Amino acid sequence: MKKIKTALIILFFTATLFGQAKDTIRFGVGIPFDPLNLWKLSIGDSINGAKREYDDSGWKIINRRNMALDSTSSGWLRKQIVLHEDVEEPNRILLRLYYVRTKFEVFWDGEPVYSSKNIDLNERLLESQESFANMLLPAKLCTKGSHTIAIRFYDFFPAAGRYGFEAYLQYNGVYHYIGIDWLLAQYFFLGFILACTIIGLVLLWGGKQYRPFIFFTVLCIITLLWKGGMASFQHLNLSLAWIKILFTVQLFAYSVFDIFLFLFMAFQLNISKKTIHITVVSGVNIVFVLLHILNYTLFTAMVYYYSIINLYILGILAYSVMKKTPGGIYMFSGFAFYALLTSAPYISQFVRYTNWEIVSYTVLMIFIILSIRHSMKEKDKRENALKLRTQRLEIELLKKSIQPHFLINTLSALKTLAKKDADKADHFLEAVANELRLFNKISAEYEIPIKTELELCRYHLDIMEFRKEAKYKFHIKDVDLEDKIPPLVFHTLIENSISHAFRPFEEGNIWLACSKSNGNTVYTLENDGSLLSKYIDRENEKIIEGMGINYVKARLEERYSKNWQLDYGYENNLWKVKITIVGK
Amino acid sequence: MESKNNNCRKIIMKIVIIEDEPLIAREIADYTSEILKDNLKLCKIFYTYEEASEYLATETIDLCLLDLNLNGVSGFEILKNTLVKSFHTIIISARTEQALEAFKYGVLDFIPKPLTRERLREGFDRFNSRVAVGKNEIQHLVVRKHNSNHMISISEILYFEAKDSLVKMHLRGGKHEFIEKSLNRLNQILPGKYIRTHRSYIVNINEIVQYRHKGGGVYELELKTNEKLPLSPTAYKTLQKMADKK
Repeated sequence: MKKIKTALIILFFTATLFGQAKDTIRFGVGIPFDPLNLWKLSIGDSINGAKREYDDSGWKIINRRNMALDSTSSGWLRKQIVLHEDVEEPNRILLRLYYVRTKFEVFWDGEPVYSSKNIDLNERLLESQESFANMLLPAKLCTKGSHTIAIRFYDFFPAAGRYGFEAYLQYNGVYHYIGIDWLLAQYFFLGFILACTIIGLVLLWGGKQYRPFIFFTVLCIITLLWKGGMASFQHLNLSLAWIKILFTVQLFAYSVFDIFLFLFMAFQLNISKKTIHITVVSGVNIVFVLLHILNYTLFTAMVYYYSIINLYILGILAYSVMKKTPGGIYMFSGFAFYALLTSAPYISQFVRYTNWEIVSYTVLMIFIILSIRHSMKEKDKRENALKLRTQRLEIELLKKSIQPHFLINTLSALKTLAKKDADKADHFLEAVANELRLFNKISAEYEIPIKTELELCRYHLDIMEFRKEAKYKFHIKDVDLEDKIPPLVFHTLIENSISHAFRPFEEGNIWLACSKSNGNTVYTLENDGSLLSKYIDRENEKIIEGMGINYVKARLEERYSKNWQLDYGYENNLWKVKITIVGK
Repeated sequence: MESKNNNCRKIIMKIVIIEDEPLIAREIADYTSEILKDNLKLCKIFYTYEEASEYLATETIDLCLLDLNLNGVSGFEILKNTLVKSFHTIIISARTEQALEAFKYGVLDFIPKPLTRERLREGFDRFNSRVAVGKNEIQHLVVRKHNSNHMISISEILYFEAKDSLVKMHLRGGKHEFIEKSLNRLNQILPGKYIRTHRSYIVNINEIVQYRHKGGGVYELELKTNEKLPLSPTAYKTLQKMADKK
């Protein structure tokens, strides 16, 4: 079952990967543009900013922080688009801009294709106070090669704290996203709720033994809370200064999340040389964040740097998979998926511009849960195996302590008998030998056919007939002789009956019956010994359970764990012991 | 007091055997009559303690041979019931790991199964000896009080005094208890520090501060509690010998 699950997970992972790759390919081939060429920003007027040849190397790459502009801002945005094939008549590329909160003019290779000067914005405003525009680009402009989109913006109008816009190129009925979408933050929020729920389940599910990890999961929650909480600010009208601060903190939040994620994984999988690895990962993360804040041109490079950290982490996880750490394979798969989506080139861009980020976080969390659950199961298994081994040792010890006395008493009796009646002594000795032989053969077994157990019981009764100078009749009813039971259970109970219930010389009957109903099997052992009749009046008297009963219970527990019950008492003038096996 | 001669003080014995396996019970009875011969007045077998206790409630015997595992039940409770009585108890059992515990309670002997004639004879020798033959493992005496058995720790007992048909045990703190066993019988199970100082007294030697001849053949010893007890001439000599040895 475990293998099937693992296979499904890997399949899902691979399918997702290919699904994305397909889109990437479509980006490259079906529709021709290169998403890594990012929008660049320049505040203020740039004469000739529209022109193709314009040198925009000094411009900043836009990100949330520097796109936080106020109503006084005006400036230019430029982006390189690489088309891999000529667009031929009657095909066109449609450029659509949504949620733009300024007045703007759009240029394609320096040619004006749109201007909001001429349009009454009041008419064009969407309900959310954002405007949009559609521009059909002439085919002669859309030749194979590199092109430049330039947008000049001015007059921001009040918006609900949202920054950025959506830009699409549409070709052959397919939309391709080329703009920055702040909507991602909203989905973060959903992802955060989901992640918190999952982490909450881990906390509840994990129990005491996971207290060390609760610390880290709580920190993860706080971090996600922070990241998710960031989303809500976009609906507030905060001042620019505050927004810039919040954006900075959000960058740290990403970093903190990554660090704590690694901390969690390191402790969960108990990797060796934790301190070194944790220092490396944390240090590099913090350094990157600082660099990012200080110098935005590193933005593209960041993707590659994060890839390196993630590869490093993946390497550590791969090592623990090799070492067969419980839960390692899940952690590795989950993190690989997450890392791929957030830091592999091409893919992470796609992820950032769409809603896939929630998927990556959710999948990561799911894998974390699987990993924890797996290691818990392993731990349980190991504990159970240990418990069983200890139980078995105890059982054997118990029986060993019961046996010698039986032997000594039997030998004493044999000695006496040998002097008085050699023939009887012969038969007695034969019965003893039979019992010992069979006893040794079966006592270490996990379970034996009832037939064998009853054979042993009969030998025992033969011996006790000599010792007690009595006769014991053993009646068996409705017992399937091929059914399996743990060895020495009935033997011990019958041994007990003879010792406790029958006087010497007393002829007795012992009955064994079996009944099956509702999936349960019930064995009933009764005897008509006179000595236990004293218990008929002493219902409340606690019968101190001796070694025999404890042995029987230990055997039943080993074989059936909790699915059995043992009852005894005086009923209908008979002493009755009832063993119920559930679901056999 | 030192004599361990078998023929010195032989009692005509009444013995009860409590054993739940007929073959073994009969063997014990056979050996007993072989060893004791004419000195055996009575030998009864009981297969359950209930039957035996009915008999013992009304009849006096000298010695009980008891199996510790009657009917599969651990016999220490039964043992306490026999130990409170005036007769001695010898255990015959397969469970030798219980021997040490049994001696702590004050059994006369513990004979392991399978029984041999020689070992049973040793047990009877102990019965006939005037002093304790053993390693002084006893730690408690069992007394019957308010219908239940109580264990009195030996270390609490300062001295024993014969009073009518019972023996009074004088304990620390001015307390006392009564026990059914005679001084002679107690002498056989008490550890060496208890000395028969008088026909009617057994005293813990560690409690004696001094002893003296008062004159006219009258001797006396004084305990740490300032009590003065009579001392027999023989015991006086013994005490002197012991003091000389030191």
